[in-house]
Amino acid sequence: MAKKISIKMILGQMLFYLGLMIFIGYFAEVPEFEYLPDTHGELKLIIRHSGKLIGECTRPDPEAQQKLPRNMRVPMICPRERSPVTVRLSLDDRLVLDKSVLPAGLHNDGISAEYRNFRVEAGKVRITLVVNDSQGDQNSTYTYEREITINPSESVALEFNNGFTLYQGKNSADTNATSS
Amino acid sequence: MNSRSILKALTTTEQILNKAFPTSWNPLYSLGALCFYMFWIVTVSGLYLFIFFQTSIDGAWQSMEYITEDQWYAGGIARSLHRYASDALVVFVTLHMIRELILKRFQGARTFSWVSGVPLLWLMFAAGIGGYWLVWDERAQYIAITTAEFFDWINISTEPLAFGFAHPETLSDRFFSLLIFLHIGVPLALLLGMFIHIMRVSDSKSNPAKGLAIGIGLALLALSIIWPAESLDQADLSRSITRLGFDWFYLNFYPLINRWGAGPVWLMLLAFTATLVLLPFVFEGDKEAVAEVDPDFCNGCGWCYADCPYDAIIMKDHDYKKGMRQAVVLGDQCVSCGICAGACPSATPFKTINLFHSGINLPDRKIRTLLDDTREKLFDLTGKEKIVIFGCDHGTRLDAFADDSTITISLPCIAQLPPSYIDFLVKREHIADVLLTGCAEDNCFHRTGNDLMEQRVNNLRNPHIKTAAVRQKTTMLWSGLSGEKEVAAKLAELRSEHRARESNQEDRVELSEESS
Repeated sequence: MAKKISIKMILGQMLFYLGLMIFIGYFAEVPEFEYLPDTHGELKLIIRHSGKLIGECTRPDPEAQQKLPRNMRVPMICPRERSPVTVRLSLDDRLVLDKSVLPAGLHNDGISAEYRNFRVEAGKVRITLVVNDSQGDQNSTYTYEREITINPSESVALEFNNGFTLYQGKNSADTNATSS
Repeated sequence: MNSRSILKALTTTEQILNKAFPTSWNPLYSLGALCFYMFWIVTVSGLYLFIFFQTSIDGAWQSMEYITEDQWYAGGIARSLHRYASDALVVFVTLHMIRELILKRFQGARTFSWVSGVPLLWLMFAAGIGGYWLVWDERAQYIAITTAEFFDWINISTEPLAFGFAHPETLSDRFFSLLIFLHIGVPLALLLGMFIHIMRVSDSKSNPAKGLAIGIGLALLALSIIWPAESLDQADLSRSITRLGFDWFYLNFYPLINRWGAGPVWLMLLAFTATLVLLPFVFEGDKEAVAEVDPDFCNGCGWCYADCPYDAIIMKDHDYKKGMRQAVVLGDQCVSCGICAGACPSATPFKTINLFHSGINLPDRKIRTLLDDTREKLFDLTGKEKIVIFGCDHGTRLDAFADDSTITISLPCIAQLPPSYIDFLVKREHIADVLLTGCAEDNCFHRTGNDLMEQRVNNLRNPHIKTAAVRQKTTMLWSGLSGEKEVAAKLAELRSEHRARESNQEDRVELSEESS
């Protein structure tokens, strides 16, 4: 049943549409969201490294090899499993991360990857990152130690990928790897 | 606040809107259709934006700047419409879901539509949030990093996704090709999901009334001109995002990821999703026995098949009458509304009483019982001019209107009433008026009950009232849940007409006595 639309109804509809416009327009932008205080910056840590293989490669038994078809004979048998990578990060001597990063893959034979995002107060900060990729073997420990200045709302990334790289600013990539 | 008062609040809001809109334009009655409408606005505006969009790190932001600034009269408006219609989609979807929940339209035959609607929520958010990435401004940077951290929690890749946004050198142009592919693919999946969502709804309403569509369209256009959508500064991964203008429709749970971490937010979202999916199975409601076909009395006319709003009836060859068809009820889809029984031509009380059987019936609320109840109640009336009010279980409560000259009968749906009953009551039981009430206009609980009844009364659909005289004595008032005042007013109007008729008759008797 069609109802005749009166002026009152038109005004009512306009009021509804105005309310809808204000509601959508407002919450599409406002209120602002504060993700990080203006006085802070961020330090992003990226670990992308394969731990050392666990165990030694061994020579197979020659007799057993002879029994195998030619295409299945191998000169060495090597383990697949890799060591977890332990990561210790300190900011101004305060330990903020101490983690053993497991290798990826069903056989633990993949890369150890870790991403962390730390909020830091702007200013000078002393970064100490110690990475070990061979089940705590001290000969496989890599250390990065440096004091940097993080500006307000600056994002700095420190990556360990067969060596340390610090990304600060748009184009500066600074490599500094120390193995002890 | 109990469910009855929530329902009352909803119907009051709907009635307020009914004062401003013709009922067929009422936005709350067209929420599903408005969702479709918003989707199409987003699609058309998005296609235009796609022409000028460049899929590269610098090109993405720059092309959006070109669209917004240099081409503000077309691209700028299209971009704003794209954003605001997407936001409106979230508003309408949320209201649609809440309304169906309040009206308990998620159980029984509606379970399929309800459950199939749940994944659409995820797709809608994925499509909307993905759109914000494409602009590659500071907001996009925040969303990209937070989303990556959010997905990294479930370890879906060997390397964390967040690596890609850790510093400027990790991002590549190809990322934007992937993004645009997703931003087209996800909405396509959403469209397919929307189609599945309404698949079991016969005559589904996927277009809003023209007047409402024009109104909403103009409102969004005006908003786009007054407050155009703009980009923030270009994303720079060597800078941190501090504060930003936020789209709370799509990003409302993002601050929780930053505050609580990804794990609890995953848990919260999955728990919310599981609750929605399980709702129809946990609150099944009191399901009444579904309609049953009596092959002896089914003549295969197909009127019940045509009228069922849930596609719960199909036709097949008759069990034993050669060359005839027979209705079959699909129990899973039947909600026991009784509309089929009201459509059955066999359900006529004019038959010899022993043969009075309907071809299709609700076992718990048989048409025959309805007639017996009506006649029993009529027997007790002492008033002169009798009125019968038929209503429905989801409309105005009628008990209070029963008195010495009025009886009230409530049905599962007003369209369960066979029109021949009205003929019968007026002709055989000498009822002065029949008042049909039910759900509010354009807001029938069983979707089409009011419309079907109106068409049957007005001789536009089979079965229908046989004579104009009976039609004149039949009044329809779609008063809805809170329509007590309207029913009372209509009843008072009918009674005053009766009184006027009586006094005219008395005057005529006096005149004839005087003249004799």
